[in-house]
Amino acid sequence: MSFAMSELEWVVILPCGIAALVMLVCKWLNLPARAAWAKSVGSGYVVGQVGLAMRAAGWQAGIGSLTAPREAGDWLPWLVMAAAGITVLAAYAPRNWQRWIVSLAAVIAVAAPARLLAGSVYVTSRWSALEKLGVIMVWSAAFAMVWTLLAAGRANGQPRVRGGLLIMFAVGLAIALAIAGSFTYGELCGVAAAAIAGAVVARVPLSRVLKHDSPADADGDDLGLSGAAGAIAMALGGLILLDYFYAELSGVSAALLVVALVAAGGRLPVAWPRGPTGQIACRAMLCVVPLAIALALAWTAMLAERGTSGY
Amino acid sequence: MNVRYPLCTAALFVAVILHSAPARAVEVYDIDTAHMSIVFSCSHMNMSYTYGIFRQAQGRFILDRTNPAGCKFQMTIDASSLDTNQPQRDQHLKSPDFFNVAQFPSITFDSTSVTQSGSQQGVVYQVTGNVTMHGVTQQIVLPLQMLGEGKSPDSSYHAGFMTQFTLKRSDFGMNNLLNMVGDPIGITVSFEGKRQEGDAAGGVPQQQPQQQQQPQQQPQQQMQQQPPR
Repeated sequence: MSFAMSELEWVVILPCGIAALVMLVCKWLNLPARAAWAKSVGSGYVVGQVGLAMRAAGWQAGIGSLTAPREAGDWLPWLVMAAAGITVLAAYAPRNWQRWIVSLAAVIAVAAPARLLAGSVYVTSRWSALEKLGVIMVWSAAFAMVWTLLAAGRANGQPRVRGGLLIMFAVGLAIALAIAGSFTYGELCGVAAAAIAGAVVARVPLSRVLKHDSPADADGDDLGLSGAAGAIAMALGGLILLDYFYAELSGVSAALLVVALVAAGGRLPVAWPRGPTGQIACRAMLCVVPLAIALALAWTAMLAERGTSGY
Repeated sequence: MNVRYPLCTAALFVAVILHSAPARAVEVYDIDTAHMSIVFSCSHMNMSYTYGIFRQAQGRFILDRTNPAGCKFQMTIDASSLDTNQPQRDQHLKSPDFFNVAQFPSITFDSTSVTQSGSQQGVVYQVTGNVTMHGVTQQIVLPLQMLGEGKSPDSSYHAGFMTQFTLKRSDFGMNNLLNMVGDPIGITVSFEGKRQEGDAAGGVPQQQPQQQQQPQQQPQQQMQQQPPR
């Protein structure tokens, strides 16, 4: 019981609280909605991941995991901060800067898989130069696609549905990654889910209770989690990549999880039903079905490996 | 006074000493992987100990009979060769929750200084060296007892050692699931080396941990001798 409480405090309450607090402060300061979403989700995730490291080995090790990254996963906060920083920059920069900002985002999309795989046995000994290039290109394209589609998700409206589905997806992903071989990555997914939830709760219901609506927020609720597209793509996309290469997530499951992530919060390039109910049902189905299949595959693989040993 | 007698006596003395000394003061040995065991034990929820082995390792050592400070010991263990007799647990131990073998495939030991202490157990070396595991380097001191030496049936010359010690996995950045899987890890290493005929001193190659990221240097840690379990 105490173990479960400890997990709840560090994996859920800390990132959720930080994300909500940052969102409320941004709203209080009347900051642009896009910057507020990026800062809120980004800071919730970063503080949550550092908090998890602190819980395990003390504050020094926690800070050390951020200032001197050693494992591939230690680089995720930096990628999240970089993506959130670009979004914040885009929120304030003049229009003629946008091309440069998109180029910066492309650089981050390429750098993310390169950084997460650097130093692994794949890069140092298993892959040829051509294979390295191919893998980095495929995953860079995946990061860029997820980021772009999540950012364009606002065009489909339904910010609450997208927010709810993204939280549900992140929780499902946490379970899938944990049973596919790494509790660590599962916990980090839990942190991402909590950060997203904190931002959503502070943005919509809580801010209305506190009556902090302001003109600058005109597009805030419509924007939904599209404002945090970069941070979410780096956190959740990065964790899918890490579990695929460093743990036991299968390639099929990884692909299904990327589809589910895009369906949860992104712009859907499919024939779109007319009514809101049909649209919600379509989005939910496109998210839940691949997520459920990925979960089932991970579960089946775990049971097959377990056999009769009971580990 | 005739000085020939003392000179002749000294020459004779030196000749006798040289003849009676070991054939070579400095010897280079390759670790015989067929006679090497690397066993570790770890508490499971304070209820039992789980034992495991590393199946693959390689290494070399130099024995300097006259000057223990000239001894050198080096070993590289393939972290992905761990085996606890339970495939799924092995897979989990290789995952990022523990060893993260896809990123840190080797565990290495390189001695930096050696002293010899006489004991009732025979020759025991106090070996100071750097262990690099999970991307973290720690300086440790371990007692290495020479168990025996001599010619093997194939006429090659072997020398065998054993060491037992405990280290904390958290000192190497392995902090996950500390409430379920114990922090102290008991380690027993026993190995034989096969003497390399004609190999000169200094033949120990400077092996670097392959595919390893830049390790972080940690403060010196004295290893505690572990009682045999």
